[in-house]
Amino acid sequence: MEKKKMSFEEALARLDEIVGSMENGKAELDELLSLFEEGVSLVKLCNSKLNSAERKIKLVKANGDEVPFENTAEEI
Amino acid sequence: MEQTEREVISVTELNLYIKDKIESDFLLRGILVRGEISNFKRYSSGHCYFTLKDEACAVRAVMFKFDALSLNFQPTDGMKVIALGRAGVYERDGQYQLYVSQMRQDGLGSLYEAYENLKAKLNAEGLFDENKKRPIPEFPNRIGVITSPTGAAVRDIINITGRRYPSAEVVVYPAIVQGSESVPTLLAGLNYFGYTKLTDVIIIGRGGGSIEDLWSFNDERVVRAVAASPVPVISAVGHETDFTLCDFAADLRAPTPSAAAECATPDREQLTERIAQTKSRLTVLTEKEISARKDKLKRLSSSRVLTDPQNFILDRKVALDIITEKLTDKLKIQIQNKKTELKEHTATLNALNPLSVLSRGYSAAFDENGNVIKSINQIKNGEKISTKVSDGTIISTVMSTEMNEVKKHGKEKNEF
Repeated sequence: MEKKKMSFEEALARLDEIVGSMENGKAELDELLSLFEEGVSLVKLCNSKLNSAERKIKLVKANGDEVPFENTAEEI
Repeated sequence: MEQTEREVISVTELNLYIKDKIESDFLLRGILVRGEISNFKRYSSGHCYFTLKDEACAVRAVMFKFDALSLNFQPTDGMKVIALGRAGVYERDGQYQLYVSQMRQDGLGSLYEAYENLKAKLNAEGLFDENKKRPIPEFPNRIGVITSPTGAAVRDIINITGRRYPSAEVVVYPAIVQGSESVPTLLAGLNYFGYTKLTDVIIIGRGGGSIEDLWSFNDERVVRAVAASPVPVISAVGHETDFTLCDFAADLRAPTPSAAAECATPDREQLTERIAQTKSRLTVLTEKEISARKDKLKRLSSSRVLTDPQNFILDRKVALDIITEKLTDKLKIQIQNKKTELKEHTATLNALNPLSVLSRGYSAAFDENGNVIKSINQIKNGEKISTKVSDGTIISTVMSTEMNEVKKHGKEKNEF
């Protein structure tokens, strides 16, 4: 559940950490497998964040509202 | 051409004649011409073609690639310039034109002076210090853009950030990027992103233009606001050759708005690649660790102690035997050493035994009380004495005593 709130940067940092602790070879087998599972889910998270189809482009109006850029570009 | 019957010449001959006339004129080989640029075109070859004009007249001008490369500004239509060049003729069109080798902007003296003075002043205050520059965040969630919402710059920034890192939100603060109303909008934009909403990085800038067009980005208030921004700022004003004071005050200077968009975002392709590599690293490492454990288990289960316990015990027995043997040997040697030592001590003791003297032919005499007789005065005639020799005792009766000659003369020193 915490995963969902993770930023891309945090997810990438945690991935590096996981690979690091696997590389030092000290993890117990159970721990190793749970690290692997966590790693794979982080990879999915990173990829989905990278490929999110929805782009957010906004324009700041005079009153401080942020509105979608495309619709208002003509008015300014 | 003085003949009455005039010679007929070709157009080519005419143009070459005119060309020669003009190009042999010494004065026309190096002239400074003031004028306004119009119809400026830079061809893909790098050569630039334009017209120089004033209120009344115009002349065609060309600047070849080699010379155009040395320009420190981007010539645009309407720009007032002073061009250095020579007059020449392009014979194909019969057109005379100016071959420009150098060109500078006209009437900028006071602007440049103001720029240099402000730059020196702000530099002395430390506004441009390298150690004030902050790193641009690698993965921005929100990118603030302060520029004209209708210019090419904003399109470039939206396109490039979208291609490289579409998950970042791009928020455009519509600013006026030139003219007298420009500065307040730039300041408002910096204030908006810096203080009111969480923004990871700010891009402030505009596309190319004349130095007057870019002047808002040299305004002291704007430069100070950029330097003071709590959010890292990327400055992207004009073209690669344009340096504004905003560029110096920003955390990063990008040569163009497109470059700024690249600086503000990671490359999705590279990231995808990096994540793919991390994933395969995860798999490889996990497999490696598991197979290492399998190997270890295999090695342990095939060790002799488990596969051949009998032999394992035999080995230990042999080892025990060897040690026992060694121990016995050591003990024997010790006993031998002690025996030898004892013999040596016995011999020494024998040598010191007074009775051993008897075996060499000496004897000792004792009176009836068992006292050793050392003087004739100790006994009287008729008393029994016993004499010990090496193999027994002789009992005898004293017949008489005689004092040694020496003793008779009163000398008491005993020779023995």
